Amino acid sequence: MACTAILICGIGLALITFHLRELTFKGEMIMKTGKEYIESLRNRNIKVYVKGQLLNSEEVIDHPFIRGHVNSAAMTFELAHDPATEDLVSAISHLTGKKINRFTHIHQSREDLIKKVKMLRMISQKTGTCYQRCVGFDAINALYSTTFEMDMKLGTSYHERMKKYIEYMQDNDIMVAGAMTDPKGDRSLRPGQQADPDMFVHVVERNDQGIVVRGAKAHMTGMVNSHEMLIMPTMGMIAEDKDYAVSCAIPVDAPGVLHIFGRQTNDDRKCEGEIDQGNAQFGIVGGECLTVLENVFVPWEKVFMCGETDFAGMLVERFASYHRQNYGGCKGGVSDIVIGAAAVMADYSGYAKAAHIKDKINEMIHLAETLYACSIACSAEGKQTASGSYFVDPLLANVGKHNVTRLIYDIDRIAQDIGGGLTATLPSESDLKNPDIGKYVEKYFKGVASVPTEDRMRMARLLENMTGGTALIESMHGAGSPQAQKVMYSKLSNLDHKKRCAMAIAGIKPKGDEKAQ
Amino acid sequence: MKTIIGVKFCGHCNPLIEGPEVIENLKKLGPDLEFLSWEEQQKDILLIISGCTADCATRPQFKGPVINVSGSSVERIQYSLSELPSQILRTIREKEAVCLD
Repeated sequence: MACTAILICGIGLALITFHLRELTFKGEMIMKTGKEYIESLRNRNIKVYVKGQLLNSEEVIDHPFIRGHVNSAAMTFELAHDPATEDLVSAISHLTGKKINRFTHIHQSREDLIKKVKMLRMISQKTGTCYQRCVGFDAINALYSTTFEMDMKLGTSYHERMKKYIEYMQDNDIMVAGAMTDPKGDRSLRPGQQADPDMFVHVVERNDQGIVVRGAKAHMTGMVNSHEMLIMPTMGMIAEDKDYAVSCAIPVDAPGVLHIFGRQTNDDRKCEGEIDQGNAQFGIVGGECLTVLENVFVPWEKVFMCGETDFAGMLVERFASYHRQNYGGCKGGVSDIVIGAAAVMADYSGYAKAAHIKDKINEMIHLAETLYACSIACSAEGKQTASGSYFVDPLLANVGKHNVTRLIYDIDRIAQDIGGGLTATLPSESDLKNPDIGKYVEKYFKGVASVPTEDRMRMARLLENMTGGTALIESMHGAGSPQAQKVMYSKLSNLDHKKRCAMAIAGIKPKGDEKAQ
Repeated sequence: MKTIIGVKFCGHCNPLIEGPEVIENLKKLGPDLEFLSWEEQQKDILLIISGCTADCATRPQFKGPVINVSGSSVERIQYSLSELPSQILRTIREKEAVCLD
């Protein structure tokens, strides 16, 4: 490892240490604390490569490229124990009646769907970045209802397996990475038509004990700091794609699994001090990687789809809708931080009272609450599935995520406008601390007299790191690129109805049964 | 003997008030009160604090007196933020009196 790695093992617990120390839980506790989660990761025999080097499996979570993401994910565990936040981050299991971490819960009501969004916004306000655990959360919920309907139609027994797996996940409070996106190779070709069949994860062997899968999953959020992964097909399948319609759970350190960690625009800063990283404690986005599956064995009890091509599309759409539901919550919370950072920069620089600054901050608030409103709306319009669990309104969920691909750019643009040019041109932390030139950095980057220059630099760096580079691109492509949402509009919105409404208002009488064309 | 107040918070995703800070203020105003978790079996009053008017905190089962605070409202009556702690305390005292009766 090139530079000193210090895991913030307490994950800044001071930040969330509650004033009322007497407020402790008395009920049955199966939920991990943040510290217990972090320690549990050290027991894995995981293979992670960073910049061409295989890391020691026990030290993966200490690597400076990875530790922030670990700290961020740890908050999803720790906040379930905080009296101020436990109402959102915990739930009662419909399977066992035990109090569980909400990230392992199956939605039992519209209220559960709404609490999920609120939870995501609240956690983002504490981390300022992705905490990764929603992907597995969405995967179990999508699989729960899909396996039920698959069993009803086909007579299979996947749903009972899924319930047992979810119970295991709840009782052990494990973090599961949702693994959907395949590399996909030539996008004009179906999985079985690819020059290299491994461009999509597929089954290469079936036997009495289980199946063997091969391929890779790309952009895997939180994978290297998870316990297991849930493989799902990346798109709808046709009969010829039978081997590619596969869903199963695999430990992240199973034989045949390796992970290649992705680079970020701010990598080098993670090997230096703290200020230039902007968010040194929790990092930027989710710590994505490429996960390679080289003939990985999966026992039948962890297989939830194997060849049922008719249900691949249902699973993908349900997962995608749940995941798109999230974005007004998590990005709403991240935007709260960006708005706060822009406002503080205005305070530190002495222009907070300018009318145009107030107007711009109000514009950012409008945009952030618009994102949040869509996520709340798709949850409030959720419905019960045949399995008993609740599913979001898919049209509104897609609209919400589509807004994120646009409005976050607007929020970040305005924040950069308010933050000023120094967010792009600031000298480094090393310059500030240099005995010869530090005094000049201190002197010439000062804003209002009462605010230390270091504070102004810290806020500028936070703004810089949250509004550019990897963070911004994630808003575009996370949970699917904008075209993926547009495709859903024509499918989920009734255009004929809109035409009929317009014709009626215009006084045009329909001709018999003829539909508007 | 101190009156035990069990406290339940909403989670504070978009709060107008910070519940934990409200409790800190109440502790100063009413040193004879003891604030514990809503999960504490022995409590005299249940205090539900939601950070905003959505008032979404889960309601635990409790047969005793309950006080609902949502945003700057106490029992659905709106107050200024500066009035809030004293109004909550006043409501606690009213519930205490009922308990004693």
